[in-house]
Amino acid sequence: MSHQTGITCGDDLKDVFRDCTTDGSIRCVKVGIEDETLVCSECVDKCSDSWKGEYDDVILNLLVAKQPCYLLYQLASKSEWLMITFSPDDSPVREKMLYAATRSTLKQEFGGGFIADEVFGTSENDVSYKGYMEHKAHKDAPPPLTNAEEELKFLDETESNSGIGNTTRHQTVQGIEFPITKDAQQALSDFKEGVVNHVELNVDLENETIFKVCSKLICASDLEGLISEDRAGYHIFNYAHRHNGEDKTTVFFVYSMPGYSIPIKARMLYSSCKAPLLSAIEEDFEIKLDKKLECDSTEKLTEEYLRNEAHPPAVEAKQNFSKPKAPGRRAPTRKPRGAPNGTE
Amino acid sequence: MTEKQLDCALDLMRRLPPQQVEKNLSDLIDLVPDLCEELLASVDQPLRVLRDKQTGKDYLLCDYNRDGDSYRSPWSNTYDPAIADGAKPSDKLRDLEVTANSAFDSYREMYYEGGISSVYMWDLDHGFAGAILIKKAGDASTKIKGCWDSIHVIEVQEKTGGRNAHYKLTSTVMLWLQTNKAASGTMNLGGSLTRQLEKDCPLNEGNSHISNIGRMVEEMENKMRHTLNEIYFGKTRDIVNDLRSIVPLSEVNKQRNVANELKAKLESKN
Repeated sequence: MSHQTGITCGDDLKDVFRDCTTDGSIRCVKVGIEDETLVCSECVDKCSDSWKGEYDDVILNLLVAKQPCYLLYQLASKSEWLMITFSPDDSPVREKMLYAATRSTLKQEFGGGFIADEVFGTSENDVSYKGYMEHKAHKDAPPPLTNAEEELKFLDETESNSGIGNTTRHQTVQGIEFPITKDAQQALSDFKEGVVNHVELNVDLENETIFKVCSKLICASDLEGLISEDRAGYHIFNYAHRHNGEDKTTVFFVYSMPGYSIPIKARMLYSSCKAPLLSAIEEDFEIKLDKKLECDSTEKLTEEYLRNEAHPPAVEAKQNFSKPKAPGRRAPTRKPRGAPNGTE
Repeated sequence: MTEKQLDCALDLMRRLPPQQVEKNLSDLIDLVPDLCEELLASVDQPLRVLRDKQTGKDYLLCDYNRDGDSYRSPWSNTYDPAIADGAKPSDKLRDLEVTANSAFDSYREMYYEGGISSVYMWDLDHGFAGAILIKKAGDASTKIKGCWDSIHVIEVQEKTGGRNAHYKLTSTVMLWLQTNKAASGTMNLGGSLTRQLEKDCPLNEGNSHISNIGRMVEEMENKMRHTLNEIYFGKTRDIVNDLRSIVPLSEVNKQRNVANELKAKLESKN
């Protein structure tokens, strides 16, 4: 909104505006600027229900040569108005400027929501019924597009969004499935049976296999030491412990990656192999992995840490969006059941 | 007990169809009349419109301009139906309210090109609060019907010294769309989204409460509209594309057969 003149509505005009949208018998209001106030210069009542039929009779009679003015014309209902700004080319410059710089104020005072359409005209032909129809036709016309834009639009409508659905979306990089060696398979079976409670697997970068580094029975406090700081590895550990007076077991899968000291190739292969290996362990060996952790050389997997992971402390109950209390002091009276809910 | 009841009630409200919020809420209040006030305060309802009899302008109704069964108009600052002792903002706050209404009127005009907006303010023990409401209903003439309601509730606390203020904005956007075409039948899509943002802003000549609030609301509305557009509509489109295809199934099968044939030919060549 450009800067406004500061000219505001007179009280008479405010009353007219109120009648316009509440009473509805007014067809057209002519608004002018007199003594630096917006005033109602003329008011025309409805003669019939057809706004189209009355249009030219009402509007053209209200226009004065060489004098700008605003016209508010009621369309189909009292909530739909047409705002016409008439500013003849041969009117005084000062007047033209005043009217142009007060337009938004008028619109706001009247209630922008009621104005269904706006027409600006410099001659009678612009604001006549024919002129308004031309304005509407122009407004409803499709936007002028170049050939290239038309083609893009056509492509948009026909190609891009058809056939793309949940089922057709794929992960671009799927994991890499390396075979698991015999002894690693044996170790996993032992783990399943409970013969061992810790297995470490590594990726053989040369032979492209996943092999067993070690498998044994350990205590939870030993795990920290088994996670090497200079090579990456996958660890599976069955953590047996007492919690709240009950014996519990939690199976951890730990993917340890010390960080930048490991060559890029190894880092990429370890992370790409992880997902297929997880599904192999869970599906082929039927070992349920309760917790999947990732760690680098700075983190220490102490027993306390494992316990916290297995039994995270209860989080605070989620907070609702707190909003300030409304000012009204009284509750509304309840409508009896079955009464229509007032919607507009 | 009532707290649990309220939780359950809000849970229910989240899961029931958003098009009938008003009916669901009224039914819930019938079930537990004790929770009436809490429920009205915590469930955002689609905004209703009333015309001010004194100025002839439209304004929006919500829980924040209600006192008993009457609603206050931001234009004339009076209650309809009239009540003598309805809650009103202090004179200073009323001035801010008037300015805010005209500011957000321009904002709405520029972003929405139509619709209705109302701003209500009320005093709090420490500072004040405001509700900025915007409603825009789709053109009835086109084939798509729809309505956008946004409700921004802002709590303002001026810091000691008065050079900074803390703002807490809770925004809810309610949107529904209905299309009815012969080819696809009736489709109803709707829901609501609530987000919260807290921010400290400087308060001086160039940065008044209005401009601070305005910037926050603008930022939030853009963000939420983007979320709705990209995430919710994008996902819905994915699902619809899975359920229905524009190309007939026979066409798809034919294409697949040709592809398979080609593949077989190429393989046999090798």
